[in-house]
Amino acid sequence: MSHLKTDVSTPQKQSAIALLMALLKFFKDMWGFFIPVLIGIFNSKANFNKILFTIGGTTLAFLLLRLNLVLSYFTTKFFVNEQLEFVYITGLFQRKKIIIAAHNIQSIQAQQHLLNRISNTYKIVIESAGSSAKEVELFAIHKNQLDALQYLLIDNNEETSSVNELVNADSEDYTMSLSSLLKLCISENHLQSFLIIVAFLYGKLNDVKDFIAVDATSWLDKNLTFIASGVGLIISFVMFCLLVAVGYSFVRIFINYYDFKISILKNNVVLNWGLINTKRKVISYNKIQTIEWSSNFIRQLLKLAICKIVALGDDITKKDAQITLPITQSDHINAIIQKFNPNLVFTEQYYLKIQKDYIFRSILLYGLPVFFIITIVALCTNKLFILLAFVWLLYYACTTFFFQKNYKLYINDYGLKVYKGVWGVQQQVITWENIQNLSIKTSPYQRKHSLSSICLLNAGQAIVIPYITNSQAMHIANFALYKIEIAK
Amino acid sequence: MHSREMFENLQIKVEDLPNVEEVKLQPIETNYKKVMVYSWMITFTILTLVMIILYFVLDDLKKYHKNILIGLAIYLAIIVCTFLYITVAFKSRSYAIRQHDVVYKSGWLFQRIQAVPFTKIQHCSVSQNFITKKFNLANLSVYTASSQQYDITIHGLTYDQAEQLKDFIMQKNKQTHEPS
Repeated sequence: MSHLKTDVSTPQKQSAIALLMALLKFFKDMWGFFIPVLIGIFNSKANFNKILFTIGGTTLAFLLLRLNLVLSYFTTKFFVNEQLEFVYITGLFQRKKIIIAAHNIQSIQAQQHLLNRISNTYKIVIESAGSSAKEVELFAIHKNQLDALQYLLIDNNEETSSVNELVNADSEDYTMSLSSLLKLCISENHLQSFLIIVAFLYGKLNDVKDFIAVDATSWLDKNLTFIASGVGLIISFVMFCLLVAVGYSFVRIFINYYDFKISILKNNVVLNWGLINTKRKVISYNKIQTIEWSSNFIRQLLKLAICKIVALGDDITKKDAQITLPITQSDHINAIIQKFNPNLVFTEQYYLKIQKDYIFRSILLYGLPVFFIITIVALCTNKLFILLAFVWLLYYACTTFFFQKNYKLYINDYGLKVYKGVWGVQQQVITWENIQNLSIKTSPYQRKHSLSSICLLNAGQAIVIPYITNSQAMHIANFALYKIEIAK
Repeated sequence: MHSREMFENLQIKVEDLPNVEEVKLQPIETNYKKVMVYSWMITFTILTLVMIILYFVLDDLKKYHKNILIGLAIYLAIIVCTFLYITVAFKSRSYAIRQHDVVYKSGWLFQRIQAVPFTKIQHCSVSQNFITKKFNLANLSVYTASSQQYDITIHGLTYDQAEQLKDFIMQKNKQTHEPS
């Protein structure tokens, strides 16, 4: 520990930049808080005293609510105690003390926003097992403090002083070339990007409609009716939307994944990425629960995949909490899986399939009810919409058919791999010993036809294997329980 | 680079493994049916009161007598179905404690058998509300590190039974984590 440049065993304060950040956030929040009040005053034509009283009351309320943001800089302290526990103390009126044992820390995520980069500080997020929320968030700490924290809390079994040094000393590094970055941009979901832009602009337009006297909905209605009046205009409009969406996807991907690097170390995988906000995340292999990688149709052609590492306590429903890495070579995935568990090698010839009943039951239970609802709505409004109902049914039938056709379950003594997908491919790998609990579900139809669905849960994700035979489900359940119990 | 380890890889016949399906499950206390009935009665009473208040407060509703009568018939049918479902579904709840895990079966139409090994249990809790307290019943919840919506809650145990099971499970959990 002597080689560490900062002693974090004594209570530490954040860098003064954290105070500047808190003040900026304070003023940003204040702006959002005051706009509705100002609009209200502007519209009401109240007298001077009333305006003064309203602004005064709002300022007081805001100060009471958000002053803690600024004061938290002065009241927040952190250190690592002798028992290798991270201690975080904060709060002025209500003191809060969080203690997290080093072995419970799942990851320390370091990020650099623009202000952090200028001041050479890091924003860090400490996540622990047992909670999907961000346990501790420090807005600006010095690099020496970060290195010391990472050494003591994550790498304390390594013989080097910082993750950077570790990366340089003994690691397999994978970087992303410019061509791979471009491929990733091309294969993005441009429709999703376009919808994000539309939703964002629509929201912003509605926010300021009182100031600019334009109603977003009526403006959109008017202009879309005009566009729909000519084929040329429709084509131009579609081309424009496509261009905007592709442009946005390119910028988004470029900013997010610029300078992307995966470093595979002895005990951890270290990820670095970002152009404006640089991020670094360290994940221990023993905290990994599921490794999942998927490719859409275009990415399959371009031999690209997006890998998701689900670690202990991750909330899979929160997209920003997920660790996703673009994979440009299959070696990268194999390297991570090998470190996660070297025995997760599956024989491609032997796999389990889900039963064909899955197709018919899914159509009957989910496809047909939606079909009937659309048909009823169409009959009440515009009969042309019945076509939409048939398109839906066809789409749903194809989806379930390809899902059943593509689904393969590979099993070995150490874990299982699920291969599935409809238009693309998704693969998941888990180990038996990480399974926390399991359940076998049956519907009356499944009971009649000796079928079951099994759900295996680890500390990050649920793997559902639908419509397999009863005996297969029982074998999997019994074997999983046996492996968990002998693993301890 | 690789450390030398004792490597054992004995073959296990899958048919020799203890079978989840063959476990003899123990039904929950019969009084729990009353708890379910009272709980739903309270819910439906509150709903009915809200509807009556709305009927008298909103004058416009009185114009739609015919539609309200149809709605009322559907509402009554839902109440009858709920109480019938309680009677049938209650019987399908059962549990078992095995040497290495807890097994819980629930559901009538859609059945579900859950198994949680002791070694994966994080903690257990016993809870009561004012209705279960009246019948001296309690719920035993078993938590693992997985998402909470999938953890097991065994309803309808007597309070003493729940406490005993909690202690037993935590004892087993402790034993599995002790170095042999």
